[in-house]
Amino acid sequence: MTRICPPADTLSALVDDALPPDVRDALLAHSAACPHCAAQLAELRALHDAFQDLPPMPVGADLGARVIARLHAEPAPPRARWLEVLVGLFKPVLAWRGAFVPLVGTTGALGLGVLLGGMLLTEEPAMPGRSPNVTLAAMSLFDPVPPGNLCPRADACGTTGNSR
Amino acid sequence: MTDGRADEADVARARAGDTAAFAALVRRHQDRVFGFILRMLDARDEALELTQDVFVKAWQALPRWRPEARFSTWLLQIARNAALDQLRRRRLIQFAPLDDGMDVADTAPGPEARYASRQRQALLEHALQQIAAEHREILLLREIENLSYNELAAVLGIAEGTVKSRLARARAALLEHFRPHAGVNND
Repeated sequence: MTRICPPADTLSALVDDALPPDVRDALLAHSAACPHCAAQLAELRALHDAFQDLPPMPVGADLGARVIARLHAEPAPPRARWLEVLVGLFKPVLAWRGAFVPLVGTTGALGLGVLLGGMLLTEEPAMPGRSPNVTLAAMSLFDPVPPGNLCPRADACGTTGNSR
Repeated sequence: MTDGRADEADVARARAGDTAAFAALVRRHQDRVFGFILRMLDARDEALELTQDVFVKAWQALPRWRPEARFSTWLLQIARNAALDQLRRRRLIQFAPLDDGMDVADTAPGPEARYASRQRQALLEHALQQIAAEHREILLLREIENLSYNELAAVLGIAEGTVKSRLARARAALLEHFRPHAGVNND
């Protein structure tokens, strides 16, 4: 039998019968000889009993019927709901036949934009005598100093004094 | 058929769109969910409304239910989240608490014992409302719903070790307001 009193959570777990058998037996043996732990254990057990005495709390109504009535008010089956939302978004557009050409055109334009943008960002193949960090040459079009212009300051451009 | 088997069969039918099967699930679990929410919120009308919301949410989430978890435990998880959301909303809106009108079981033999039992029940219910929601929920799920430590960890989203320590802290907090041996309120 251990003389050291167990921590509170171990006593609490004993009430829940959530301890391994050897720990449980050691704890029960300790509590039999320790008035402090015996009192704590008795209080925890009494609290557990008090919970068991609490009466059930019945609803007193048929919620089955009420819930089903609410479900019928929104009859979409659970799995198809996201699909319906998606179709619903495009329904006004798809219903109008004249919208087909602009829709395809817009999609194509967006796709082409993404493709060209992607090409700008792709790394160029390494060239002899060229610094490897010059990878976004095409993006220099958007620099404050366009390619070929004279530099306003020495530190604004490359080593040649010209813009890239 | 056990409740667990009946639940699985009804869930399978409900997933296929059978609302009658779902109604059977609601009837089987409505008292349990309602009792938990009522003790969390301490307001009958609010609890009744929220219980229905829980079942509507459960219907919507049915495709995500897996048979590894008991249906009743899964429902309690939804109920717990809904109750906590409601308690958070209460920071802005106050509801009338449930003071009386509660049905109390008459199991004590004589009038004095019956009175003492009812008084103890009322004191415990009152004490439950005095402690933090996170302590109240874990005590209700353990003591009333008999969830195992493993199930508590899943429902509350915490480790099993935390379940053990939180339960101990919750019991200590409740004992600050309710002494079961003395039968008197410490407030």
